[in-house]
Amino acid sequence: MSTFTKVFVVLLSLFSIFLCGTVVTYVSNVNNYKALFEDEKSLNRSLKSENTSLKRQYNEKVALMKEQEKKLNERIQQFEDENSKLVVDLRKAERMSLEYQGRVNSWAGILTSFEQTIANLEQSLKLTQQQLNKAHSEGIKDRKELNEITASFYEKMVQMESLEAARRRLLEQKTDLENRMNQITGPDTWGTQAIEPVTPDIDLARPGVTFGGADLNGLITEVGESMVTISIGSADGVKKGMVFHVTRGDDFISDILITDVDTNKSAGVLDLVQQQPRIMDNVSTRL
Amino acid sequence: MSPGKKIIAPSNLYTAVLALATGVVLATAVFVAFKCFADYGTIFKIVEAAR
Repeated sequence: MSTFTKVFVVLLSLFSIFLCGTVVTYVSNVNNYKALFEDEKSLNRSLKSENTSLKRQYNEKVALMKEQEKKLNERIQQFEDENSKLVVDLRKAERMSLEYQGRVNSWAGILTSFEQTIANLEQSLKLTQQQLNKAHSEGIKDRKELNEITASFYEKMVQMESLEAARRRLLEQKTDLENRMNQITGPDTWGTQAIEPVTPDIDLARPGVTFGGADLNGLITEVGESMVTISIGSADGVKKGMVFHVTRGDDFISDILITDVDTNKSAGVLDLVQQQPRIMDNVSTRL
Repeated sequence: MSPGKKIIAPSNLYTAVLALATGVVLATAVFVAFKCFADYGTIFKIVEAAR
């Protein structure tokens, strides 16, 4: 064997061993790409299936979301319609509110004028009441004077009657005296009867008779359950037991039987009540 | 070499070295074949991706 061959053998052996060493090292450390591939493939399959399910879920969610969006849009549209209606109603209510406010203001003005009118009427009523009271008191005074004048008139009448009776009696006495004189002076005085005075002798002048038919007029001042008070009393000629007739306009109300008499007022019980008497009703002894 | 004669292997260092190298190569080939078969299931085919 030549030297070159020997060297070649040795080198070949060494490089072969070296090569085998590196090959073994490489082969033992190399990745198992098939296993990796299978792993990756299975992972890919699982991911694909997961992706498919996720896509399906996504599509479902998208469909659900679209449906909800559609419903929400419908609700939004409904709410917008309601909102527009409510805005219209609000405008209408505001307009009516302004209108009613104007009416309220006008009514307030009218009410104020009415209050003013009522105040004026109350004032005029007070004045009228004062005038009425004044006229009533004057009327009472006038009636009192009238009663006094009537009483004095009747006294005068009685005096006149008494004087008339005295005159008649004097005439009769005169006639009687003439007849006696005729009897004394002449025979043709027989047959005549003695004239006796018919008029009774009045010795003393009688006091004036209170004429029972004198009209007394007054007003009711107080009204109780069964008793009333009138505005005239003993100064006007009222006496216990007198009957006053209560009238209101042309209507008969009731009778009052006087039970208590004061100077300027009297009280009595009601009788023949047709209606409940009121203050300021007229009372009179003659209907 | 005559046809009737037996081949006698020379026993010397270079033979041993060659034998060693041959053994190493053979072991390497076996190892690689085994590894390929274990990993890929085939030795001579190019593994294709399973569809």
